[in-house]
Amino acid sequence: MRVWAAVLAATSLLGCGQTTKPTDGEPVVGIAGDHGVEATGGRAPNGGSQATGGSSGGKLSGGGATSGGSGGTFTRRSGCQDVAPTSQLPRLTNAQYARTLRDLLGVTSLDAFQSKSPSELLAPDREGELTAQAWKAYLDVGAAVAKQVIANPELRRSFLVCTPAGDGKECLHDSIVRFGRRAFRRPMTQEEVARFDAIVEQGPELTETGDSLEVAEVLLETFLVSPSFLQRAEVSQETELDARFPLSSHEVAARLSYLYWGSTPDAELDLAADEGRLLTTSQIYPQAVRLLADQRARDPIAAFHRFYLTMDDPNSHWSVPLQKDPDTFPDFDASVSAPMREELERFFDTLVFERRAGFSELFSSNLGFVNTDTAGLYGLDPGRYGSELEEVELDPRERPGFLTRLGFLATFAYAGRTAPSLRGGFVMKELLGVLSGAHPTAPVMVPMPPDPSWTNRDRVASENAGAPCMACHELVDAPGFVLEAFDALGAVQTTDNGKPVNTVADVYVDSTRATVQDPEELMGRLAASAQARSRYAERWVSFAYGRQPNANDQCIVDELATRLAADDYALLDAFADATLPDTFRLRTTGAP
Amino acid sequence: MNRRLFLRGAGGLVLSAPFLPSVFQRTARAQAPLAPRRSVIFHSPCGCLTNRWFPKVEHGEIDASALTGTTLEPLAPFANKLLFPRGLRAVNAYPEPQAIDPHDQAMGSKLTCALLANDGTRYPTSYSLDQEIARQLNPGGQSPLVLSVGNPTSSVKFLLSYSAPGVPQPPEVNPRTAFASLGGTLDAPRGTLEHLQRRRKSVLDAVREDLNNYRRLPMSAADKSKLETWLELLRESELVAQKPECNPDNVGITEEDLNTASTEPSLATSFTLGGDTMIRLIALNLLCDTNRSAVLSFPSYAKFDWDGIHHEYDHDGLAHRSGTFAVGGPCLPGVLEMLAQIDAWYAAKFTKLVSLLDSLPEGDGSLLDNTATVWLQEFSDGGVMNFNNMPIVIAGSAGGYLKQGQAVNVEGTEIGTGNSEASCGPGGDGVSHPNTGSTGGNVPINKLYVTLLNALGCTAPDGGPVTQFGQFDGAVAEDGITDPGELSALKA
Repeated sequence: MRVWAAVLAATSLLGCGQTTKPTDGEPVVGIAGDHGVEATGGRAPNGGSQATGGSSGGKLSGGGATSGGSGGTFTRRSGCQDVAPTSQLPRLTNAQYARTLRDLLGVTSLDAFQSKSPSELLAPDREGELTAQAWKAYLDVGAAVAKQVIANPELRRSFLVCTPAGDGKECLHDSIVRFGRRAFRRPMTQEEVARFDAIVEQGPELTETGDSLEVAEVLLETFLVSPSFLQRAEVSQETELDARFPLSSHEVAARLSYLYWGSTPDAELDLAADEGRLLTTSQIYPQAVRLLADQRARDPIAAFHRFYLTMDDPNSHWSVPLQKDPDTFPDFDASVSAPMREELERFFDTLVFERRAGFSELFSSNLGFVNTDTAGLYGLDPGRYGSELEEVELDPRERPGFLTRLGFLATFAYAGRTAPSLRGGFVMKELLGVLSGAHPTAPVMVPMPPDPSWTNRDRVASENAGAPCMACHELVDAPGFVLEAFDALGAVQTTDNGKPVNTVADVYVDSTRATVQDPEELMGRLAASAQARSRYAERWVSFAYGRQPNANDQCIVDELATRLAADDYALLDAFADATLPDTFRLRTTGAP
Repeated sequence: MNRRLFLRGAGGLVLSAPFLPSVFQRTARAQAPLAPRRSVIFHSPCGCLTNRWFPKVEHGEIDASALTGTTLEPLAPFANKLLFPRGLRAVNAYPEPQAIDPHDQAMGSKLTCALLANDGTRYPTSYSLDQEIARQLNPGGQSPLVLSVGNPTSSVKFLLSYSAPGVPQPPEVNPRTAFASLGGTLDAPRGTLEHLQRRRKSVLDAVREDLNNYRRLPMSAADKSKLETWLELLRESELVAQKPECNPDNVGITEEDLNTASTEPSLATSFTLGGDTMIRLIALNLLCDTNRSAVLSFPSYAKFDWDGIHHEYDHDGLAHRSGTFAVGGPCLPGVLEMLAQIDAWYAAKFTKLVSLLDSLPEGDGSLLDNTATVWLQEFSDGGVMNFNNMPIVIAGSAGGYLKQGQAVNVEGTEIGTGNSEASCGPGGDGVSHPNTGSTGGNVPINKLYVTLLNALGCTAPDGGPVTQFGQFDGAVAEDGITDPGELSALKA
């Protein structure tokens, strides 16, 4: 809120986002951080000008690094040495937990809970300390999974290495050692093995019949609620220097697999970890390339792009169910929101994994996905498409990049008219990082003016005309005015209220105000914007390392942002390059 | 130099994960509850005779004498565990006359604070409070326990619980079915329960040893705090695991009652034995921790002909004072005393629920202490069908969060009790008028719901305290929530 107080106090456009002096060729309009905390100005001793940017090395597909992970070569290095202090005990997110159960035990839905997925049953993801309800959910789900697995002769083989004979103790011991290695993502200590062996000894007291399978169920349940399973602990104590601790190979293996697959390491990572072969960047990077080449990388990268677009943020406009005014859009059916949303996801997925696209293509690609319900909105013949989405090439001048897709345009609109402030706000805030924090006050909705000849742009301009609004809205609304080329459902519109649509606006990108004629020109400016690249890099770094933007990571953000400018630098390269900086293989201590 | 990236606080701070919705952390470990917190919503139809229902104290301490002579006199033994939030207005009112039946508005909006769909269902366009509580507090976000008596129904007039816009969770009216849905260990013989308890203890012991291994390592204060919190939660789990009372016997459920209540179709059986069995089922759920959110509602169409009451008119007709659903007309002779009988009957039912929960020990107190047991009504006065000055009482503090033994006027100016006897009582003109003389008490009920959510340990989507609930809280739905935040005056 303090941020916005400052905004309101300002009377000029620049009061809305203080312009810093262009340096290092990367001018940025910024505003103090989300909660009004003190700006530290990006210390980045090794960053900025010193970043060994460069874009050479080529796309992953182009042989800059070989896939396959057998000691691939790569030519990029990172100049970033800062290590941000983070928790040593990150708990698996619900999605990670569910994928881990899938990969360890083959369980994806729970018989005891109406076939729900384990991730649906857990308490909502939450940073910090465990809550009572989260713990109870782990206990309940862990017990249900154990029961289901042991009851099923097929599934139980993922836990039991053998068929228990006699008292079964030997077989259960071997199962403990093998499964524990995978569940804890490291070999169990002798003490830990002894603890589980003791449960086997007590089996008859803990179970009704003392049967080996019943005891196995208790063992599995115990594994699944153990902190060593639920947390991805990083506790290797070997010091490099200055309180910087190299992660063990096992810890690195888990970092890699949870970053790129959102799940537990596979056999190849396990082997590399057991042999201590994940200690140096030249050992780690080829694994990153290998994991990214696997189908399993697609989900986490999709999750990153939802994060980039704020799609999973319950406070974002994406969370408002799509509704349109039946008078204005009589044919609208809310079910169209699903293919619209899916088109956006497939846009990013296809560009990244199939076209090996670079950053600028996010704003320039004409790739589209339509079905019979959405084709008409793109001016295509609905009769040519079925209910499944089909890949299409849209008019590249009319529909460049994801901001001209229905999913964005229809979501960032009101029920009966477009919402230039919402569309422009998304561009300025989420894609350029110019604004942050909440709107200063509840927006005052000025009733529709009596003048019936106004276009929606006239109306918005009139509503936001006052000085306090204009401090930000002059900046915010401009990209939205350019996107007036599309109506509240995302279809092209050339007239509004009987008048030609005016898409010309003065848009403020990279500290430069310039008149933009139409969406194509706007997308061209975003595609080439250092600020947009920086924001994308910042979101990726934040997602990949699981931490808020901070001064320690500034160097990496700058480094990736610089590289993203090169045409031959693929987004996949940026994803893999997250393993290059020191911070990927080191940890440091936080506050005492 | 790029100025967009900022350190979130002092140097060396442990940074939180941005892709998680929350950046809030529990800071006060000492406040971690040792027992789970739950909510029970008890709902009666057609409002009440407000001037007889409210305690004698509008703002201040409530003791037994404040209830003497009122409808709530049976609750006197629990006076020091009651909280009367005074001055609240239920959501539904529009400034203009509306075509929608006030019953639909009252019920559909009651726990949702939402507009009703403009179609034949008139279901609300948002989800209900009990569902939000269940989603956040129940293992796996399982559905709340939604119970009623009488006939199965899908009409907005008798539904309270909605899992999503337009999606009701119709109440279970058959006690046998409701009992079966608890499932699990309840049917298990005693010996098995002992095995289960030893097994749970073994699991928890292993978790404790694992945590202790990490505890020995140098870590940041925040990480150490995570471990300590987890260890405390283990103690809570042990408490639950050791509790021997998870047994139908301990709440008075018998096989015979279940059979009778489930097979005899009469409304009389459903309201009496059925209602009591539902109350016991709620207690059993809380005891066994199988559900932390429960709703029990009673429909408005009953013609009371049991428990010493013999009426010729249904409750709704009596509430209208005329004996029919029509508004206005001559007062039915003796109507106020008939309504008083019904009000007393509901007060006795609520007392039965409170008394049962208070009889079941948990930790240092009772189940009641760790629960918010809330009595809500359809209207304030059933004749006027007004939504201001709602009669509400909460028993239990939800684990110490709520004030006890207090009436709290959250509006700040004197509200009064209204006069439900104005037209049909002594001095009235014999024609039922839509006026009880009560205009105060217009603080949005949303704020009470926010307070309850926080009391129970629910959080906002960003992980912080809940600040708003429902679509709107005033006369104009389009304005949305105009008065966010909880009612801090209700907090202990």
